[in-house]
Amino acid sequence: MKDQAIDISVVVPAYNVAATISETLKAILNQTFQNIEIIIVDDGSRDNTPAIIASFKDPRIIAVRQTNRGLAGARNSGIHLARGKYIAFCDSDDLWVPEKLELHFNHLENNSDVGISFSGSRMIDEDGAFLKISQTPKLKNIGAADVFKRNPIGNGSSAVIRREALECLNYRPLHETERDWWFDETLRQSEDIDAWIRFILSADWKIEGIEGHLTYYRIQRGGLSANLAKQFESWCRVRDKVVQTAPSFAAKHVAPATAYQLRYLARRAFTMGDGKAAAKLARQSISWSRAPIYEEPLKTIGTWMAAEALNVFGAAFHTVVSKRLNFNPAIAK
Amino acid sequence: MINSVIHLVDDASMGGVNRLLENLENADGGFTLDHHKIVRVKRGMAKAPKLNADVIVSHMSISWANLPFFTSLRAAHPDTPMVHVEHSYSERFVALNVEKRARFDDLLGVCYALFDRIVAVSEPQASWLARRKFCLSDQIVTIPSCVKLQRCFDIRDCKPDGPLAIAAIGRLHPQKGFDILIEAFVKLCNPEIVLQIVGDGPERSALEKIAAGNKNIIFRGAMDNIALALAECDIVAMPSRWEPYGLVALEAMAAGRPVLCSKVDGLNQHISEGAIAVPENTVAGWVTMFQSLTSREVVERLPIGKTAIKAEWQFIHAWNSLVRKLLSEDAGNQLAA
Repeated sequence: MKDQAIDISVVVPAYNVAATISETLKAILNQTFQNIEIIIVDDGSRDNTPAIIASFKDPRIIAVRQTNRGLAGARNSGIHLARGKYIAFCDSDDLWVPEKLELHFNHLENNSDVGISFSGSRMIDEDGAFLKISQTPKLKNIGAADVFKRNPIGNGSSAVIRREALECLNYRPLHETERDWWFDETLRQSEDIDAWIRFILSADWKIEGIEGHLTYYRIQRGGLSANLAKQFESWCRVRDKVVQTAPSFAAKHVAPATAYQLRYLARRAFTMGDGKAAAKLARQSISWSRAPIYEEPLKTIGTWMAAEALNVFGAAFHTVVSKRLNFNPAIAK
Repeated sequence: MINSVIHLVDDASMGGVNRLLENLENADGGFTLDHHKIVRVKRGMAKAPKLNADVIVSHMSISWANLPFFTSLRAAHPDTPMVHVEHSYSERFVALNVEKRARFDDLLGVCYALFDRIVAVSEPQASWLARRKFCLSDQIVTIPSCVKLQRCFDIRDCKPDGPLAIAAIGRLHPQKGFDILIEAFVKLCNPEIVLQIVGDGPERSALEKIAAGNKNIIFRGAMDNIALALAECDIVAMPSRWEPYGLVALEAMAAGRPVLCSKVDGLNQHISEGAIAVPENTVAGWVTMFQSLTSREVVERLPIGKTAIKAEWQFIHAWNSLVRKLLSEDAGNQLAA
């Protein structure tokens, strides 16, 4: 591999993922596109993750370990080491279909104005079983408003990025002594959407999707609705950065984007079975903007009604509805 | 042979463009080989005047409204070499302001095709134009803008008294990002530092509102002589949201003032020549930056940047060679015909 230029660097952040990383690495090694390097960044795991990583002997793997910096920090360390013309990210609980890299490679090679290539995703549960909902986003003519409101890229294992284009995200905070940042390490959530919105507001590169559900994105059940408040808080920090970078864009799109974000969180609260939180978030969403009602009436009104009903009727309703409608809001962003 | 070069500007042109043209028009005899003349046209004029020139240079902003003007300019001077200097657009401008990108790409493509050369005002702008293929890559010439710098050189050793002074110089327009700077300054709340805002523009009252009567933020209005503003500050801040080149950085470096700037467009070129990058162009990012400026001694140790000594000469030389090149191509074409 040494003498040959690497086409794609796959960056795999890993933190306490003993249960899933093996399957993830196999899916990467089994790609039809073979000229890759796999940079695994163990972000200070305290479980069996390092031993599992070490058991993989493929020469294309580069494994490094660091004291915990969080997801953004692990990705940044991977980017720092990456030598490929393109960089792909795969979180260590997600999976790729075997053709994923080949299809994105062709897309990027044939479209020199595309900076980020992404695709839709299917959802899997802890056991790898398919859930009945997928992410099937808009693929072409993606503008800054699309990214801000709906994040078509969807999840952290979807994008393959042209290295040259990624450099528009590069910076080094004054206190950082080791290496540059691309993702904002002060964010513990919403670091993806922060990077994609900064990307589209700073670079004249296209974000474009290709057909198919090429990523299997794993949904962890459970979770606490208290965390939703934290998630909203970090999203608001991203929003505040957008306001400073692009005041006129923000004036137009902040209210609808906030409404979409709250609707997403309402759906998350619904999956967690917390009717009170779901109803509160759904009401907040509508009070920010009615844009989601006009733009996606069924989903918006459905979310609202389901949240209110759960609030009133409680857990029994939740079980029935979830079963009958396959309504799994966690993933249907 | 002295050739006549006509520079077209419209009434919407910015301060920087006007100062740059004055530089060419009044360049010291020994340097300019040609006779440079400025012709002002009214914005939105549909028909171009007939000009008697060997080379025509446009410094106007490209827009759909100006397209008829550019077309008629070319039609009226089919054989005169024409140059467009791109003062308005940059990668960040497009990313932040253009919602219909395909339509914008068409506009630049159509307009640039009317010109023999497109002058990029900075290396980053040139690579953006080349990458996006708005024109042929051999059509692009990079000539960083330059004004007369002597008055800036003259004040190098002149340092202000009183508290540490940070100056922000430019049009009061969202492009310049002074709102970020002022908000950071209010947050910082350090009585040892003053912020001087030099310039005027549509955002003035909004900015004054953000400053909220803070005694250490001084609005000085527009100043014709930038060297005077530079003489009264220790350091220059440029929190621009986009900036094809950023002439103020060059003038500040010529005056021996360190420059703090955002990492956008043409400012990246100044950073490679010694300006100091502010990693995050946000209120928090500037607060952190200001917190590191604890005293005048600290500021004096900052790098000043490899200025500007050669910039004037390089600028005049680049224009001399561009005009020669165009005219020899032109003669070649006529011979071939």
